[in-house]
Parts: sequence; structure tokens; C-alpha cells
Amino acid sequence: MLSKREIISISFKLAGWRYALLIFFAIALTIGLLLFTQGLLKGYEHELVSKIIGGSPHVSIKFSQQLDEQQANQLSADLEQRGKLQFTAKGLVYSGTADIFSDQAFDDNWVGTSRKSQSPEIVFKGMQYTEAYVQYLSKILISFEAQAKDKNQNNEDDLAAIKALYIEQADRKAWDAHLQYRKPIAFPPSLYRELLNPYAFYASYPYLRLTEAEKNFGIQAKALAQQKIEFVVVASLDMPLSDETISIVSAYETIKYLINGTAQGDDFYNYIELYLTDPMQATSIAKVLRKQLGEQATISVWSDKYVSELALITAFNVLLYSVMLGIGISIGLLLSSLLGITVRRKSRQIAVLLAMGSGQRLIVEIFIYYSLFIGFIAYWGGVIIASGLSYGLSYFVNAQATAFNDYPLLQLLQIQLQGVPQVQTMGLLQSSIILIVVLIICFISAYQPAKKGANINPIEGLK
Amino acid sequence: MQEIISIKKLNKGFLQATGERLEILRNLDFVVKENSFVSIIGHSGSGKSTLLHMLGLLDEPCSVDEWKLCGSKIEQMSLAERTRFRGEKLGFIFQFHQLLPEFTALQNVMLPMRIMGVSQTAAKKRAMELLSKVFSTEEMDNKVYARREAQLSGGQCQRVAIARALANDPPLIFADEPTGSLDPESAVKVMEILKALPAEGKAVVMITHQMELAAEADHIYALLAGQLVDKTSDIKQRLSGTPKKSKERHCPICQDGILLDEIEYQKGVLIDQCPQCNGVWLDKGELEMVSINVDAFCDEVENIAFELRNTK
Repeated sequence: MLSKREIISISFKLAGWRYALLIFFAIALTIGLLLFTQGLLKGYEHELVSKIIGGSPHVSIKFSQQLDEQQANQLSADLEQRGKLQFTAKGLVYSGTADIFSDQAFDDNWVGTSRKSQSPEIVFKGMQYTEAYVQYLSKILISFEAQAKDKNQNNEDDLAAIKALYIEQADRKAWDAHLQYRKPIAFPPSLYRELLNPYAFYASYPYLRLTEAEKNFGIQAKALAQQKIEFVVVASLDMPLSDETISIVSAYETIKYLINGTAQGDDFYNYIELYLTDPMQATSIAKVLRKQLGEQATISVWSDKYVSELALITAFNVLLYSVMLGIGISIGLLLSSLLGITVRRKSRQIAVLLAMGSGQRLIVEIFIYYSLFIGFIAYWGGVIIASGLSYGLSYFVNAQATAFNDYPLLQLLQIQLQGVPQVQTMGLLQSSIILIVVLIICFISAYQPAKKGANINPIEGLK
Repeated sequence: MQEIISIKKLNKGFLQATGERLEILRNLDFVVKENSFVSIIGHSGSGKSTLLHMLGLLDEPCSVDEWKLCGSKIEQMSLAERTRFRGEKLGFIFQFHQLLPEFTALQNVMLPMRIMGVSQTAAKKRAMELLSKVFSTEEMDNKVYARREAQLSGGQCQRVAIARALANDPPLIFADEPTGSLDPESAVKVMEILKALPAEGKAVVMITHQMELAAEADHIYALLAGQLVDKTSDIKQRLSGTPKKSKERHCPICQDGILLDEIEYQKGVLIDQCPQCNGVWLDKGELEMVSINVDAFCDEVENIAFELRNTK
């Protein structure tokens, strides 16, 4: 029997290289574009998800009743003991009104025009001190430090103080001495590019040094009301405003009025946020918690809040695959037509093969192997094209992004920064499925012409 | 010697576009012994190629009483078995060589062996042996075997086709006008190769138009009105210049072709057919009839035969 290599060789001799190249390029380009676009979407999804899970609580537990600090601490400790958690953050709620009209001094310090906002319930998300956060802030500050000299003469001491503050090494005296360093800077969500400004502090989460604020000013805030203090608020504004979230503006306002003693209301805790070691397990963990806590609390997971964003990715994927499937079917029809032409053109050769003792199966195999071989090689051609495009995109379009490689959390914002996400490598399963689909299309396309070839009457073919 | 082909009462016809049935082969009997060289002559459309296709298992008879090749009963074989049988036991030489132009001469000869499962090395070795038989030393030195059809002459192509037909060492070779497209010199070379095959234990059945080539065979048959008639002695005598014993008559239709001896188509009904114009001639003394339509003629013969039987 002829080996597969010989059958493929015969098929290429019969059908010719011209058709093979045409089909190869058609499939390779389609696969290349599919893989590239899919990689791009996957990259976008990855970055979006990373950003979401980096900037949102993975699981939020909102209690139906108010908890005092002791209860909240106890609950946090209990949850942390369960494992699978990086840390928990207790939500401190200030229930009251920040009367911004009562203090003219606010105007001296406020940057922006949203000072008239009032929040009936303002939530502070207490910053959780972690090594990662310290490291992040240190890097930001170092970067800031390098740039700051231009506009802030003699500020090295200030920077050192802030740096020390954020890594919680500073004492109260050092902090007090240098807190007038900078006004808070707030950015609207649409201006992420502004975040590149080295004079801005930001994070992917509205971290607020509430612990510090409470420690230093919370209870004694009124006593310090006359002291002019500025906070450096580290936050980003991509969080939607909701009853669980506060923008940097309202955070700043509230702090101001807490400190200055003009805000009126009560503090309490009513929710706890969980940050998981594996955010993808949020749903299953939430399910367990729902069962345990019952009606005492409402539990939500990060993906609940971003259903539309995630659905958009899915919709894009569906659209992409639909278009590519359409192109695939078109290529299949092209392949089928070309093989049909080949069968007609080479009917004499097929008849000779049949007369020499070739079974119909061999004739079918010749065309099927031809098609599958081209499909297989073209798939890898597509992989190379996709890799080239991805590399090119990463190299040219995202070149600037490499400047921020040192900022782990800044990486999360690169979708917005560059407008083009990093291309992600497709998984083995997904690429295998695409390969199988390509081979199936090739097989189906070749089957009909192959059967037609096998059914050629050798007598007619030899005439 | 054993019979390598044994066919009894084979019938084959086609349905024409007009809806009428055209009978090509009628109750045909054919026997070929081992190691013999048989040629079949006949006019165009007499059914020579149809018979060869049937013998080569490329076509199916409408009906047959016995159909044995190389001792095997063909009618009992499945399609796959016939395909395998064709590859192993039968060799084909076509008028227009029918080499695969995409392959070299060597690959063309190797291909039937590879299809039948002969290893690459053995197939190459045998192909080279066969090619060295059909090509001269000079041609082999010039590596003619590495050329493709377009780079070979017609005679060389036909010799490659012979080598290809012999690739699987089949005991039965069918040659359909193997010299039809060749110049006389190439035709002689091809015929020399074919004539040598019976000595190598192969039976050759050759179809040709040319009586001179047909005369090279051990047995010569003419296909007349769908039946094979042994014309060995007649043609050999004619070509050797020996005066013909029987009367030699010109075709009454075309006035050009010389009619062959009559055959007894039906009992008491002798017919003759012109190899030149395909006209059929019935000689029955006072009843004389000619027709260029064999089918219409045969229907008419049925009536005449009936009349004759009644008369007697």
C-alpha cells in the first residue's frame, strides 16, 4: 500500500501547487487573523478582568444590620481563617451629611469643581496594609521623586516623609511636618492618560489611608480642626459610584469634614470585602457564604458588577467566530470548487490509476489527504502570521507601555492607556478546537470532489 | 496449456441517446491459452475496445455464461476483489500510452507496484529492470527513466507504458492498439517487446486495425457482428501472398474493402462484414442484402434465418 507521504505526494502532483498555495494562503490568512483577533480580545478580556479583580472586591458581604468595630473585626478574622483569602477589608460607613458650605477653608484646598456634592451615605474603604501595596507605592513614589524635583524644590524631605508614611515607618511628628506636601488630585474616569502624570498618585482601588486618618485624626479630628492639613489621597476613579463605592472626590470631602469636624453623622460598619487568592473562585465561595449567612447578608461577586463588560467580550468573540466561520465556509467552498476542477482536469490520470488497480478508496484518500495536509500546514502558517502580527503590535504599538513595566498595578490600566491590549496567547484547548474545525472544513470540502473522482468511469476517463 | 481467458456467451449492449439499444457483443465466446499472443481485429465500432474493457474488468457484461480469467471466476468477485485482481493479474497497454504526465518514467512504472503493496526499494529495483528491458543501454545511460512524459518521445512513452503494464508481473497483458499512435520504427520496437512476452510466460491480447501487426500474433480473431471469428489462417495466408482458396470479393457498399470469409451467424445464415466501411453483407444465393446498420441487419437476419429454416 502507498504510504501517506506518497499519497500526499501524488495528490500534490495531480492537483498542483498553484491551487495548494491559493488554498494555503486563504486558510493561513484566515487562521492568522482569527488567532490574532482572538488573542487581542483575549488580551482585552484578560486585562479587563485583571483590572476588575485588581480594583474590585472579589466578594462583597453587605450585612442587613450595622456592625460595630468589634463585630466587624471579629467577622473579618473569622473569614480570614477560612483560607483562600488574601485579606479582608471592612467597610466603614459614615452616615450623615458633609456640609461643604460650612467651611470656607475647604475652597482653599479643593481642586476641582465638584465640591457641591453631598452624599447621604458615604462609604470609606479602609486600605489594607499589604506588602504588595507598600511595594507599589514605593515604586510610584520613587518615580514621582525623580520627576518632582522640577516643580518642587527642596521637597526631598517631603518625599522621604511620604514614602515613610506609606510604608508606615513614619511617626506622627514626621508626618505632621510634611503633610502639606501636596493637594489631592482627582481624575475623572475618562482621563486615564492623565494618570501618567508623575505628579499624580493613583491605584486601581480607592485606597484611603483611613487607618491613618482614624489613628491620627479620627477621634481627635475636632481638636485639630483649625490645623490646615492636606491629605494625599491615593485613588483611581474607575469605580462606579454606588452605595459601596466612593469616588475620590467624596472621599476627600468627607475626610476633610471629618477632620475639620463639620460633617455630621455616625460611623458604622456594615459590609466586608473579601480579596481572594484566586478571584476566579469568587462565585463558588459566594455560594458557600450565602448558604451560611442566609438572610443576614447580601453577597455579591466581582463578576456580577461587570456582566455587561464581560458579556461584551463574549459578544465580540461570538461575532468574531461567526465571521470567521463564514469565511471558513467560503474557503471550504473554494477548496471544494478547486478540487472539483482538479477532478475534471485530471479524470484521465484518475482513470489510469483505477485501471492500474487503485481502489476507489485510494482516489478518495488522495483528495482528502491533500485537503487535510494543506489545512494542517495552513493552520501553522496562520499561527506564524498571528504570532508575527502580535509581535509587531507589541513591538510597535505598545512600545511605550514597556516604560511602565515596573509598575505592576499600572499594567492593569494599559487598555485605557494605549487603547490596544496586549495580545494573549491562545490556550492549547482553544487552538486545538480551531485546528479540528479547520480539518473538519477541509475534510468536508474535499469529500464530495473525492467521491466524484473515485466514481469516475475509467473507460470514460481513458477516452 | 491451460486457458487463461475463458468466456462463454458474453453479451454487451448500450442504450443509445435515442432510446434504442445497441448490441455490441452477442453471445461471444473467447478462449485464450497461457503464453499465447492473440490479436483481435475489427472495424471501428465493432466492439474491440468494449471487449478489452470487459476482459480487463473495467466494464461489466450485460450477461455471460462463463467469465474466467487466470482460472478465477470473475462474476463471483466483489468490486474490491476485481480491483485487486486487475492490479495483480492484468496489465494494460493503451493506444496513447496514458502515462501520468506528473510523474517520471520510473515513478510511472513503480506506481502500480506501490499500489499493490510492493516495498519502495523492491518496486524501484523491478522498475529499473523493466525499464532497462524496454530502453536501450544508451537511453538508460542518458537517464531517460528520470524524464517525464513531455520529455519522452511517443515510442519511449509507449515502451514505458509496457514496462508499467509488466510491473506487477501479470500473466495477462491487454494491449489496445499499442502502436496506433507511433511511427513505424517505434511500432516495430514496441511489437518486438510484445512478441517476446509469451516466451516470458505471459499471454498477450492485442487489439489492432493493422492486419500486418495482427499477423504477428499466434492467433488472430476478427470481431464481426458482435462475435469473434478465427481468421488466423486467412490473414496469414493473405499477407504471405498465398492464393486465397475461397472467393475474394469487394464490398458491395464501398467497393473498396475486401470482404473476409463468411461466418455462420445463425444456422445456415452466412454473413460477411467489410473491415473498411463496416457494412454487413449476407450471402444466401438469391437473397442478397447489405446494410451499414449492424443492428437493423441482425434483426433482418433473424427473419431470413426463420424463412430459411421453414424452407428447409
